Amino acid sequence: MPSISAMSSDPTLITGLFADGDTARIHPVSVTVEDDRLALTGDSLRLFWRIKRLRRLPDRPDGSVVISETDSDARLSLDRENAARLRPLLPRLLDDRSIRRGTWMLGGSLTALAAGLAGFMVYGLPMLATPLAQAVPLDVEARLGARSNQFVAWFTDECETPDATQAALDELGDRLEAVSDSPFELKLRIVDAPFPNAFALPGGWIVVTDDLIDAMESPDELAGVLAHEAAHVAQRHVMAAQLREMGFGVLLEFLIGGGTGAGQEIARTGATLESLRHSRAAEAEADAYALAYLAAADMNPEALADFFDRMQSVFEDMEAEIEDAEAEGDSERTETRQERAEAWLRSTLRTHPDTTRRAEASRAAAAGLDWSGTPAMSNEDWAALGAVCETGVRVNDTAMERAADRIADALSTSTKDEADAEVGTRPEPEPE
Amino acid sequence: MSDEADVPAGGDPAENLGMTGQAEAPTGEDDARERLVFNQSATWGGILPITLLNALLNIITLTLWRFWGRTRVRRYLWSTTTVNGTPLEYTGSGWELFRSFIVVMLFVLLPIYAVMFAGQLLLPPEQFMLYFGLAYIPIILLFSWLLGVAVWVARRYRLSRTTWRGIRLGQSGSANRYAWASVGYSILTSLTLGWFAPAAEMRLTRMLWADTFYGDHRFSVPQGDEGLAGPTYGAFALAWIFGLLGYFAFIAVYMVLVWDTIEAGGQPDFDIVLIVKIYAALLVYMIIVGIFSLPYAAALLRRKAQIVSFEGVRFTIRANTFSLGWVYALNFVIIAGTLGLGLPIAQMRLWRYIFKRLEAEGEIDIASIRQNADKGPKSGEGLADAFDIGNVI
Repeated sequence: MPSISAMSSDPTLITGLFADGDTARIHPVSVTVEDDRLALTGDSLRLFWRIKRLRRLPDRPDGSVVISETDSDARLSLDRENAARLRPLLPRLLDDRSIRRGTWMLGGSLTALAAGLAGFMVYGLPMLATPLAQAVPLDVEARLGARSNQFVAWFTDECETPDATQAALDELGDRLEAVSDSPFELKLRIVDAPFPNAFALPGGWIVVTDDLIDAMESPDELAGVLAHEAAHVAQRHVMAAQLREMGFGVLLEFLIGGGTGAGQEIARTGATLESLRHSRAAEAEADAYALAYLAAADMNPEALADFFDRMQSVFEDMEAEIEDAEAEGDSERTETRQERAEAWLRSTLRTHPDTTRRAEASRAAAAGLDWSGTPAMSNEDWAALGAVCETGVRVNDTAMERAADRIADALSTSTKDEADAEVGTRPEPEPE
Repeated sequence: MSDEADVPAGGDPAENLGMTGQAEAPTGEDDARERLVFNQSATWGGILPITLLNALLNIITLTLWRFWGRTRVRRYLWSTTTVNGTPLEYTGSGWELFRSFIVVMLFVLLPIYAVMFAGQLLLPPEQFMLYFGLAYIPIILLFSWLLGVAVWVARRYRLSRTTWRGIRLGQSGSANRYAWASVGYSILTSLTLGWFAPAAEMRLTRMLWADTFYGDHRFSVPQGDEGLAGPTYGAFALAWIFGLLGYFAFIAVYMVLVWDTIEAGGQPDFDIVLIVKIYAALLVYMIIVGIFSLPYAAALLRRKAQIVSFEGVRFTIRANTFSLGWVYALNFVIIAGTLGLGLPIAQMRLWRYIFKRLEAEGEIDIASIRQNADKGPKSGEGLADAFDIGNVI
């Protein structure tokens, strides 16, 4: 120690610690620059590094500088003082600014890469999704549809629709199919579910919940909703959405990896909002097509607007109920606040927040369309439709039990017949 | 240099790493036997700037920075860890991690998902469930196996990127063997309702350290698996029993909570308030289980250090329930309070705990150790990253 500090006090002598990369031994060395070489001299060694081949490793937290040669395991470490003495002799290598510049360049390029990827996900994918969806072979989409339809069958209770009622429903579907140029046969199903909704699956399947039918007051409204879903089918919105979501999912995983950190969660939330935005655009397009279909099929073009008005009042009723509950439960303050927060959350995240606007838009567009005044369905059929799930629900207890049943079905011998009967509508569209 | 202010009695790190040559002092060229003294001088002041920069860049690069961020954290932790005054060096790079992540995504996960998706498309829908049922167990096995491979590969990468005095650590052996052992032990663990877990943990640890090198010298572990986990079973029993009791208590609380909301129709009303209450109960349950698992965690740390030796040098980690509990408790608060952005601080605290309490007994001729011929894999731990297990340690 004394000898070293004596050495350090000499302002021209530069000393460091050298590990040769071959043995685990540390050599105290003195460092000099001789021409284009760095010379290291120790007790039992003397070696030269070409300055061109030197590389600087990241500094240690105490400010020590570590130097090595390209592809070498050897290390020369210099503490702050000695590094300062060496700096004038190796100005390029020991310039701190280049390190900072490197960090900014790296951060900048990664930000640009991330922005490019995000931009592609937000703008490029949706643009690609529609033409790609058109390019998906019909039988592939039909298969996907059969799959999704089966999933719906597993997780909802099927309503056994009487033949006559199903025929009336099918007739409605056929009329819409004829005017919509749909590449798929429209296949309508009613399921028992505790919420009012209708949705289109790939391959022409349209599922309507019994609660939705209960909420409607005329078959024309059902026709309006079906026309809207038929537009999703004909425009292959569902396929486009699935492709978009799939591409989005893959790219998102590429971007954020399997992680669960804060950054990842922010990215995922952004992705969800992004997908909501697109589904709204598709809804608006389907509304526009629906009106055209209704007019072409001689169905009430105002029915869609009527339906939106009705949904709006259903939402308002739900909110009123929540408010009533709040008023009643005022005694317990914290809970009320939580409930209010919950109501706010619900209204913010609703997929159809703009029901009123859609009602207005479709009423305005419907004003110029003709209709002979014939209802979409006879009163008897409509009444029968409303009763479907009250008489013919097949209830299984839980989704797990349903899944177990299906596995048992699949394992039993007469696989195909069973599955068809369970899905419960009509023969599969595609060959096996 | 707030760092220096925080450095405990161990001394000024600049002195330790720098010019003293103290460790070499008794080094006569012939008899170069040394004791090993570990020190860890990481501080909040040192890790905080790294944490903040990482948080910022992770957000604006939509997390792409994470590979470089993790590299910086490791570099800091390694370089503040000294053995006989010389710090460890982490030689890995963000590029290596990034590259291997891309490779794993393209060549491992994407094909797996493509096959699964194609299966959905191509299999007849009515028989899909049958195939799904048949494929279920192989798929679970495949993913557990991949997880084992990921652990092994990531460890090999980290060791090969760790040098001390210019000499690399490294790992030989077979990822496949390790992965199958880990799959088999997991099965045994579930069959024994968890009671095999300590043995599994210690056997896997033994397997890894048996294949671990510093330079051209291999670490030593006990010859067989017998009695490896013995000293940890008492603490494990405590964790197991309280885990079970806590589980029953949680179920009871859950039933009471749900019971209250059952009105007409017999269906519980899962509104958001109830869900929050259930999660609160779950949190309490996890904290209780966490507390009673601390003795086991400390016992595992101690035992792992105990079974490993290097050229006759034996290791001890002076871990105990209360000190380790404090590290975990504050880490939990740090991570939760920063929504995960403070993770490097938590990692630093655990790392520092381990190396401050790591002691070695016995002398060793370090100078006789030569470089490890195996330079390790060319790129990093993409598989581990994909499974989100590729953090620091």
